[in-house]
Amino acid sequence: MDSARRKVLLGLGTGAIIAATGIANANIIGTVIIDGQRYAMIHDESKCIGCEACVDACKETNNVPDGVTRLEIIRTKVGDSPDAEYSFFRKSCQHCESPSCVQVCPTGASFIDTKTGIVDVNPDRCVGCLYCVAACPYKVRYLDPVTKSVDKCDFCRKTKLAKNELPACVQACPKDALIFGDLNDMSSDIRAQLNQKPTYKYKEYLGTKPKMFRIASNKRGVVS
Amino acid sequence: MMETLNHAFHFETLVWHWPIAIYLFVLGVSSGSMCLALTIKHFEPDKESISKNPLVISAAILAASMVALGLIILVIDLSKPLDFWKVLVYQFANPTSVMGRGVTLFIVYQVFTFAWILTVFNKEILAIINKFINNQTLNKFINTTADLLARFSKPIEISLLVLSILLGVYTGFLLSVLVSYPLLNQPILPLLFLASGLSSGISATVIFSIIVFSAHSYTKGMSLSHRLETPIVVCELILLMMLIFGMTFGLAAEQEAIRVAIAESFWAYVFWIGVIFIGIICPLALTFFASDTLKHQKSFIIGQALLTLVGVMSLRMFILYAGQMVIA
Repeated sequence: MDSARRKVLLGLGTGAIIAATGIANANIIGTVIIDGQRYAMIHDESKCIGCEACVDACKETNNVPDGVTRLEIIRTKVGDSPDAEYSFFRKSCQHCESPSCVQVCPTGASFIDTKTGIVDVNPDRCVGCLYCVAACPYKVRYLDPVTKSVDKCDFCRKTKLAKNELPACVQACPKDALIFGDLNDMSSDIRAQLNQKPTYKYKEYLGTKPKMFRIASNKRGVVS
Repeated sequence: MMETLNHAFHFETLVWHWPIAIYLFVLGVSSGSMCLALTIKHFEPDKESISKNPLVISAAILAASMVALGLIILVIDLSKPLDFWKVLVYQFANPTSVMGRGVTLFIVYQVFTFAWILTVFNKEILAIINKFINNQTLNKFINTTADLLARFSKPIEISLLVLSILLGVYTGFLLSVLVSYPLLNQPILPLLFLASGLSSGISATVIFSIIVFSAHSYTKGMSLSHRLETPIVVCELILLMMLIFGMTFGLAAEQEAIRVAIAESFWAYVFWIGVIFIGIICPLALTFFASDTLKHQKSFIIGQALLTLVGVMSLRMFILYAGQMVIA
């Protein structure tokens, strides 16, 4: 092949790639630069009484269909009766900064919102391959039986946060066991709490960089 | 018994079901048969005879049809099958997605597969088309395209070999990037799936060529196919040992995952009976102990190849299901 024709073919190839990425636009992941807030949450397991008011509030606010949930409180029995106590563990999206779900998504439907650092799903883009559901080590994603898209906790980004309110679960908690805020804001409640109390993060060793902090309860033997 | 079976196929951490195992299986067959076809062609001095070789014809048909079948299975298994076009349009939205790159690979692989088929079977394809329509312009177009492609037959073949190996390892990478499941998140998985894909591709091609194109033990390439099988099966065995040893002496979650998989579940039976006994020990034993006259019988050749196929399908099911039982 002579060089002129080769150049034309090369040009066509590059053109096709640019066209394809052009349509795809927006969510090219890789290094995500959070240019606004970095929202995170603390679950204070020492305050939680396991009433599940948060679960109900979430379902109502976000119109979550029956049979699925964005949020669960897992109770573990500690000690033997009659002295048995319960510890409570919040199972919901950790809004990881290095999320497995976003890394595997073939269409870019799973993404980190660069304004808030919240991990979210674009239902129009999702085709329902369930790769993200499999990839999430926290097992907090589900297939919405109504929209047929994958869904999960979005810190009420499209409901409460859009109205400048705290997430529904945080508002509903009678024991103030949930603290929500911006890690980039040094004067926020969440920053103050993190400075005061020792916290842990779940499955941190997987390298997912979760943003769900937990204050361990003083009941011994706490497991997930 | 029913309860054990029910539990084996339905558990809370299970996300991907058996269609994905079939998807991995047919992609392996496609990759393996294409590698076999290219190998036979490479070692055959009489290049003119290639287009008449039952093994090469079977391998070409399997390579092209199985990758298409894999794509169909993938699309049907989506929760929104009608939105499958979004996977094509937005495939570069996440450049590092293994599944996204897999879609790119399918497209390129299919283009190269059809280009290769056209260069090798140019006359045969024309003959078939002319039975239905005899259009001079169409014939001329096909001939010109085939002639043009024939000028690049060497680069096409090398690219296709690389692409089919990539397709083989892709089936492993798809699962091995899942940090959530310790048994799947193993760096050895792509190699294991490449090896088992190769043996399934060879076996499927051998069966297909005997049944459909009445190939026999003296068909050119048949002895080559058999000579390839044993080292590949031995490789599979070594890779499985590496997987088991590596995980047994790995992190807590890995230790638990491999223990449940090969010792404490329904899938342990599938592993020891399906993967190890039917898929590895039986074919190896037959190769070493069967008499030469027996080895030349068609029924023997088909039987041995069937054992391998059952073993490979068992491996896909075992890895997929047992792999999702324990979470990191």
